[in-house]
Amino acid sequence: MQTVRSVEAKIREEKILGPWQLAWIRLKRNKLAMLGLYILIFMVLLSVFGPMISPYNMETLDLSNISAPPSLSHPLGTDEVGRDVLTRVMYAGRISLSVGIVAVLISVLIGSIVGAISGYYGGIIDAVLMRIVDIFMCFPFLPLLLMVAAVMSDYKIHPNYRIYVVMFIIGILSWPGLSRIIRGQILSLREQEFIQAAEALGLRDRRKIFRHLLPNTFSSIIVSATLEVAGAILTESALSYLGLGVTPPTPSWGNMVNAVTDAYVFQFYPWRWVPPGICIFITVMAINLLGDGLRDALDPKLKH
Amino acid sequence: MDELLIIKNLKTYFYTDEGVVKAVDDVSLRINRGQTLCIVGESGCGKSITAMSILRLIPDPPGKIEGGEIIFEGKDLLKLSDDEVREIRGNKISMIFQEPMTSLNPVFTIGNQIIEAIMLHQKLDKKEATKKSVEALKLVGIPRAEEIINAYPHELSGGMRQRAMIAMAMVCNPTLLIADEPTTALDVTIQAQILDLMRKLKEETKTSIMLITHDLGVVAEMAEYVTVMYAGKVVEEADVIELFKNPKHPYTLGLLESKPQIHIDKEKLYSIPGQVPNPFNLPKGCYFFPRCERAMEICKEVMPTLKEVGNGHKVACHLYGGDNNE
Amino acid sequence: MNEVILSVKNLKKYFPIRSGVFQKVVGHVKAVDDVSFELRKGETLGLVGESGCGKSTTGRTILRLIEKTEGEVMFEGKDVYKLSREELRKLRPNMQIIFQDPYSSLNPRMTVGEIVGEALIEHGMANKNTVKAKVEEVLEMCGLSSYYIKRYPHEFSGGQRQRIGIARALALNPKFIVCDEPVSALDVSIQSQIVNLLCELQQKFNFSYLFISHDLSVVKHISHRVGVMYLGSLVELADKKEIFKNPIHPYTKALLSAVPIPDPTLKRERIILEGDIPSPANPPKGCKFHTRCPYKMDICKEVTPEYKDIGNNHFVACHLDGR
Ligand SMILES: Nc1ncnc2c1ncn2[C@@H]1O[C@H](COP(=O)(O)OP(=O)(O)OP(=O)(O)O)[C@@H](O)[C@H]1O
Ligand SMILES: Nc1ncnc2c1ncn2[C@@H]1O[C@H](COP(=O)(O)OP(=O)(O)OP(=O)(O)O)[C@@H](O)[C@H]1O
Ligand code: SF4
Ligand code: SF4
Ligand SMILES: [Mg+2]
Ligand SMILES: [Mg+2]
Repeated sequence: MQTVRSVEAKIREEKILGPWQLAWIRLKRNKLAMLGLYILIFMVLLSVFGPMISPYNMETLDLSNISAPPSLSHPLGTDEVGRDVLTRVMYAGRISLSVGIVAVLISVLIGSIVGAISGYYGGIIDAVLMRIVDIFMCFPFLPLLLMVAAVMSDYKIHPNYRIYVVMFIIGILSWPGLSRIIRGQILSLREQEFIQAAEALGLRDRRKIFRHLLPNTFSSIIVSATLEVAGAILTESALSYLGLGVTPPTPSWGNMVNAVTDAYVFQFYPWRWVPPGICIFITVMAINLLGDGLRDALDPKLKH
Repeated sequence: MDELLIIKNLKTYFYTDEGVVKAVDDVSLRINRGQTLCIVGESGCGKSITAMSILRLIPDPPGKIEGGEIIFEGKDLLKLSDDEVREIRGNKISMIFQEPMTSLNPVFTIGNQIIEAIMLHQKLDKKEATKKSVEALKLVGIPRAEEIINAYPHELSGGMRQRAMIAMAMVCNPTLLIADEPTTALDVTIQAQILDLMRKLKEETKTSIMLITHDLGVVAEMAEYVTVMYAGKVVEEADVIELFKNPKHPYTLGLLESKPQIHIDKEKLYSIPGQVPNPFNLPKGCYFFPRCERAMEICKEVMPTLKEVGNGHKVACHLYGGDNNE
Repeated sequence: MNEVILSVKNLKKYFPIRSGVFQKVVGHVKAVDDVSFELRKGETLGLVGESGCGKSTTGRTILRLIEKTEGEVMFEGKDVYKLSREELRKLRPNMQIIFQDPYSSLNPRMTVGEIVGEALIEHGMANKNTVKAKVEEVLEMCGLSSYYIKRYPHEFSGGQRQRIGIARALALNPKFIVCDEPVSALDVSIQSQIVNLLCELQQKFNFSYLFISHDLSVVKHISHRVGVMYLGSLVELADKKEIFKNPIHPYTKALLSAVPIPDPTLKRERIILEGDIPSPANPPKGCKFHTRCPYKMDICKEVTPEYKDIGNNHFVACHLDGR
């Protein structure tokens, strides 16, 4: 009996690690993923605090100093109306990152609920929801976007509000994919015995969906959401190119790169488009590294 | 007697993130020609890893054979080149794996896989090999062997797959057949068929069998000699009749006591208290110490060694012989 | 030991087999094909049979975890299949299930406390303040320390997980528990711990068990009566002593003789069955066992033997009965 006690005493001392803590430990072992995470944190800090400590305002024109090459006072030079490129890049980071994050939040919210309901109830509900998903997936969004952009310009909607529209549009664009993933996962989870156990316990549907099913898809939600943030940042820059994204004078990394309209700027003022380009590139890469790392770390087959 | 396989002080370790797993720790065994040796023990005690070490199939990394000798027909398998081992594998020594589905290739027909083995090891041409495979399938009691030979593994039931595996293992007339829980996944009636089959084949071909199982009923039925393992170590070994009549190690006793028996009625089953120890955190002395009802002071500190206690019966426990009693 | 708590009549469950692009139904797996039995208070009915013969499906259809195809399941006088979803949900605490696989039957993202306690709250048997004490009590009863309450399933061994599964079922004070191979996935030394636990609890609380297993020696130890299934149907059902001493159906006989006995000095006559289990999608005509039966007669190929009482509450479905 004494021995049993001592074993139990030892167990009591052991630290309790939940699944998330274990995932974090595994993530920390993955060097590339951690590099991605550090870069991402750096970019976020830069975007959030950079503009505050910058001596320039991103909208202040300085016509005496147009398209100046990088110098001590303007580390990344100035643009065609003399605004400090570094400040604008940092501010654009705020816009691009928040467009990415908010769009993905919208997409995750709609996608996981639709996916979960569709997968859980199956039958006719599933069929209807999945047809809606199909419609969203093959809907001609480009013409719609062109229309929306035209309308927004006509009504002279302030660029700051346009950002919200862009976030919303990108979110709406990407939820169907996510809902398909979630639905697939729920379908296979539903066959697992612990869901039958939940049914046998007489739990309500709401609890089964939100406490039993969805938490077990968190790992894939997190992974695809992370990767989608990267996608959203890229989509935003593509939309900017069509004049549909965030419009100047509000900067986003996308529209800063797309401000290059002729070969002359391209060739002689690289400081105006290279820095935002690099920002997009390394942010997207960092997010992808982190996403891959998360995928491994969150492996639901909790190996001990 | 004529020894076919002698394992001396085999050590197979796994190096994992959490630490070193001593899956097989200083295990010695021997199998005579024509003998059936059974290895029993709880899940995770290193039975499969012992078997896989013989064929040098340990995944490296994370696994590594750290020491010992495996002498088969006078040659140390651990010193042979990879090519030489491959020559022995499937020819002189064949193995039936624990999970038949994972060891049959799903994209080839059953026939393909058996014929290939025959052609590789016996240097027969395709026609003869095909004939021989059909014979082998018939021998293991697969009906419609001529048709089954063109079937893919997923088209067979679990019992048929396991029999196909046995046919494949037996066609080359191995001198040693290693069967890793060949019937655990099967039902009693199919299990009876397969055990019956293995017994017949052994009588006909004088093959030695190393049978891994955790079912003591199967042991009693098949074995001539039994080795009991616990946490990577051999704790007891003896002739089958001796072991069942006169079990010595408290773990063996517990195993025998805790299994309900169909021909004996008991009020309450005996149960060994506690759990199998964590491989990363083994007790210092006897590994069975935390669960042993007869544990003594010495057991906590000193690891008992395997000692002969008469009748060819060996046991690793301080209750018997040497360290304590004499 | 008298009141009938569960009565199953002519229960059938056919799974459709679909194939082709349009998922047309091309046939049915007759997983449970006309099963009838009764279970009394405080009684254990053992259900044995080969893998795939429909034992689990029977258990789950009784609990209406999967819908039946035909038949009737009366639990405490109520037809389980005539209840609305909400009524059924309210009835659930009375009938529980312990699963075969202690790994997949526990939600990996919930702590032991949540797993055992959530249904208590959901059914209003405890509130947020009292639930902890209740869960601790049940865990202790199942031989688990109460400080495991904040741990996750992956930190436990198979035997401990099975105890968590048992605790989850017991917490709700059920009257009837389907034990779907609760010890098959466990090691011998752990098996006996769980079997003893189930026996003790039954004595304490007068539970009724439907104990599903393919291990006859375990079934013999734990059951009062034993039913033998073959290809979806019950072929024999009788008192434990009766069925082990005087098996009538040839399949039962073969099954009993095939169990290996851990005694090397004992040599027995063994009935080795020929051939494989036929597919449940296309069971043989007449007696389903005739393709493997050593005693088959001409009549067996054509006429399905009736499942009937041959006296002594010994039910059997074979043309040979009484001889
Ligand atoms: N690839 C691996 N990496 C790390 N550890 C391993 C690996 N393979 C096996 N082990 C460890 O080696 C030990 C022995 O495993 P082994 O497969 O021999 O057990 P066993 O006795 O055959 O059990 P079972 O009855 O479940 O088949 C186990 O503790 C296992 O965790
Ligand atoms: N959801 C399903 N869809 C189609 N067929 C199924 C389904 N579930 C079970 N079956 C089939 O029904 C038959 C009975 O299955 P069941 O799981 O009840 O067997 P069992 O007796 O519990 O076997 P085991 O001992 O292997 O658990 C099997 O042939 C199986 O393939
Ligand atoms: S050595 Fe001691 S602890 Fe180990 S089995 Fe023997 S008596 Fe028990
Ligand atoms: S009815 Fe006929 S075939 Fe079926 S079990 Fe009885 S004797 Fe055998
Ligand atoms: Mg093994
Ligand atoms: Mg089952």
